[in-house]
Amino acid sequence: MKHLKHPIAIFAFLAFTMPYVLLFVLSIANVWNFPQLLPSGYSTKRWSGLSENTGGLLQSLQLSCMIGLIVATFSTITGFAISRSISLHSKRKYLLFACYFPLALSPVIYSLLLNHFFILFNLSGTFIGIVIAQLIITIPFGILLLSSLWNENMRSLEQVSATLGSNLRQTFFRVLLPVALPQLLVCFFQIFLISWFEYGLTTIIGVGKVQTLTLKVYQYIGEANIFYAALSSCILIFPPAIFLWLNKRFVFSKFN
Amino acid sequence: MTLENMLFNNKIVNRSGIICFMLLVVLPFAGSLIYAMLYAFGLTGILSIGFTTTHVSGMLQNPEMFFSLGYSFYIAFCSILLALILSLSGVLLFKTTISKSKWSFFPYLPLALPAIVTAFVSLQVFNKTGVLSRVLYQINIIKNLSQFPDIVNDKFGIGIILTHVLMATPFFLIFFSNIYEAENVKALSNVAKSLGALSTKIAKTIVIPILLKKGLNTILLYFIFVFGSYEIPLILGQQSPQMISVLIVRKMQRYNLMDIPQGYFLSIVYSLAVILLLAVFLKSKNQAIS
Repeated sequence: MKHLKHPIAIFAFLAFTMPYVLLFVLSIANVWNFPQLLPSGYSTKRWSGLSENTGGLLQSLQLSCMIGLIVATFSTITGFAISRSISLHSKRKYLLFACYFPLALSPVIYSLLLNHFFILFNLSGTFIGIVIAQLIITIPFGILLLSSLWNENMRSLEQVSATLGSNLRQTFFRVLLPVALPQLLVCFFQIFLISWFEYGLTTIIGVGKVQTLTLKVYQYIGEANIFYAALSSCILIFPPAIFLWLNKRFVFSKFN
Repeated sequence: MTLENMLFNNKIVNRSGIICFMLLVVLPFAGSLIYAMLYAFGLTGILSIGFTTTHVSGMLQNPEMFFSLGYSFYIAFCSILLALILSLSGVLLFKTTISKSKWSFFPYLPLALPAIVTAFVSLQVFNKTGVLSRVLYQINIIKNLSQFPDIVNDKFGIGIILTHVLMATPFFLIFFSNIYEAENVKALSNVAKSLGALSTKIAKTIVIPILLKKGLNTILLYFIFVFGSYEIPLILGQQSPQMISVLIVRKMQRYNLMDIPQGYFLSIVYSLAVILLLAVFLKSKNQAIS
């Protein structure tokens, strides 16, 4: 079997890195006619045009960043607080199970079902509407992810802290928060990614008015503008990939 | 009562936590389903005429709904099956090197790709003028474009399945590799080996059953995710049959107002299917815990 391992590993390596290479090459390509294997010319004009907000890509990047940061911050804090309340509730098993429903439903269908209420409250097609719609999905995710924090160990720590005379504020800031920090960071990062990659919900609630990066990618695919679709895809995927690498290299290894 | 006491008083905090949970998680979900039900039965909406089963019976008599549900099930089943075969084979071949070697970052790379970008990549690789057909043309396997098969926008959903496999395989590879390590499968395999078991027997009776049993919940959740996927079939699918998410969006976003109640009814059917699958998930999770 050993001789097989090497070619399979090479094939897997190519398959995992191929999307990044292909998208980058297309983002700098000029002409790519059939049957040429590689584009016939390259230029960095699309990348340099980013600073001039060509096609509104820079604006979309800022918008996606802002929505992601707000949603991730709010969901992590809310998830942390609510997961604690749930962990102390007698029906916690059922409450946690209820968190799976908004997550398991396809976001595009859930947003279609919610759309009427967003129109009713004049939130459809607005920035705040998109943030609220994403929160409806990400808060249950945060609760599920952080619910494992509130175990017997955590309760014992709270009790020890109280026995040693600290008040609730000190227990929270000096004991619970430092212990929970790694999981809070993971939660923040994952929710940021959910928001960053969100398409279905944003397109329905945003009715095309809130142009995030994912909407830009789809717009360019629809226009058959593969070079700009590749450029917007690159902007969408390179930051999370670098962030993932940094996380794996430094954050997770440190916590492990 | 001081602000500090109010903020950190356990009873108040716990009660307000549960109220927030009800407002942010339960109310939107329940409210949207109730509204969908009222709309589907003609009790609300622009064309509301009072209680009627016309829309529901119209949808039930239309084979489109059943085709769409069946097609979504077929896509999800094939995608998960292929991804499981590939990822389990990968774990059997490489074992813990997936998570421990210096190359272990690479399986994580596809996880940073959103569905819409993966679909775009598949389109550029598998369409008639894509990378694959260019490679086959250059090495003289095909002579012209018509000889290249329809992989995207085809009736069997091959493009959709391949794209889901591309997304799911690295995920399951990392997932199973972690289980392999956590469950100490290597030690169990070594014991079996020292007792004379062959590698194929060890894989069949020890490694694969442990990995599948421990990963059952995640496999089920991933199945639900693929079943309701939207962006990939939107870009790589055909007009007919359509996956359930695409069909619902088409029904509810079209200019024909008569289609909207049917779209709501379809949403309820889809939601019930998801709830049913989640119930199975909960049951298997409870069994795993007990």
